[in-house]
Amino acid sequence: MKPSTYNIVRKIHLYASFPIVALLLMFVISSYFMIHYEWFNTYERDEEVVQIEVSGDQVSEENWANFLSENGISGKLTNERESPEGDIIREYARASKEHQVTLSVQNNQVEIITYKTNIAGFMAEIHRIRGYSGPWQYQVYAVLLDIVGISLIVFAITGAILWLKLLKNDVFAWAIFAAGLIYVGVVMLYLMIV
Amino acid sequence: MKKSLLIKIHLYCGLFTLFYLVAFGFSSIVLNHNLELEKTTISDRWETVVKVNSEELEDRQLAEAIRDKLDLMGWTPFWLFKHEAQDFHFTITHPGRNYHVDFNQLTGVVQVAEAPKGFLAVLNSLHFLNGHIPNAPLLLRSWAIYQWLALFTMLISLFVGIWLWYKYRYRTQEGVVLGAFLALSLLLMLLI
Repeated sequence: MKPSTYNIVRKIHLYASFPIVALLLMFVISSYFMIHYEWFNTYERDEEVVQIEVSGDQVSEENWANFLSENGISGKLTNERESPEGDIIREYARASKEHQVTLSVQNNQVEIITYKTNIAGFMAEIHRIRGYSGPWQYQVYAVLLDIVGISLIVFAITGAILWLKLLKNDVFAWAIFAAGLIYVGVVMLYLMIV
Repeated sequence: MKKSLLIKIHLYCGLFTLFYLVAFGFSSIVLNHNLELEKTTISDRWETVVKVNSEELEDRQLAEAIRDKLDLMGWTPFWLFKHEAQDFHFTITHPGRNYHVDFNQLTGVVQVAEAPKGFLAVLNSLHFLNGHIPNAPLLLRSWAIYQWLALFTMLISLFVGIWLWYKYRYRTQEGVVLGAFLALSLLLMLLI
């Protein structure tokens, strides 16, 4: 490998590590909260119910947007359905809280149930948020997640290239590499066959 | 600590976690785009007879008893249980394969249709695999240990690498890029 090529690969390896460093710690900590959810009460949430009278205006997206804004409801629309009674139910989620908004057209009433997460639940929710939908900040976050995903693969591949350049004859390094390859390969093969 | 030793620690830890990183990166992209990777084509059908006392068992117990008698690995999701006359339908599933099972409660005949999910689905599943699959062998149960070791060594590799960069090859523009990523991710975590 030419010195210039080596330097380019090293730079790519370095730059790929930056988005990983920025998000990885959060993912590792939140994984721990999710796996040991019983220790941290990760999925326990405080519940608050508010009922609001509304006028008999026609239901429109504009009315929804105004209502949400007036009542401080923000986040990503994660679910929308209609109850057997004809009520419109929408769920808006943020990492720190979730709102279930039930519009009863017959009774001119809206019920808002707010579920507040604790710090472990907040981390777990951030871990789970993904996808290109919702307000702008969710879309930017989705771009960041894609960058991290690509960076992980690039970081691993360029790391292997640098290893072959720097310590190609290191037996211990080959042993670690072979052990990882064989273990992951056998696990995947087992899952595919059995 | 010597620079050469730090480089070796960075390298050894990186090599240990290499394949996990690739799988993790791949599944992160798949999840972010909500891609459906599971194949559903039936690759094999077979039948056998099992002896279980189906009248005394609830659906979940019955499905698990049949799974154990068939010596199959996987969960039995309750939302896929279905009764039709004398037949009890259920699915045994694990990250690599679905088994669609029809059990005749009168005759004890079990018909199984196997649907492998495919390589990409298995690669994606490593993100969630914790080794706790019912009837999983030691090989798969040991994944829980590998997973934590891989995460731990990844952190070591990453932070040693960052330290080496900061100590020996720091450039202002690179520091700005890292700072920007840190600031952006923190800001977004507060906003979402």
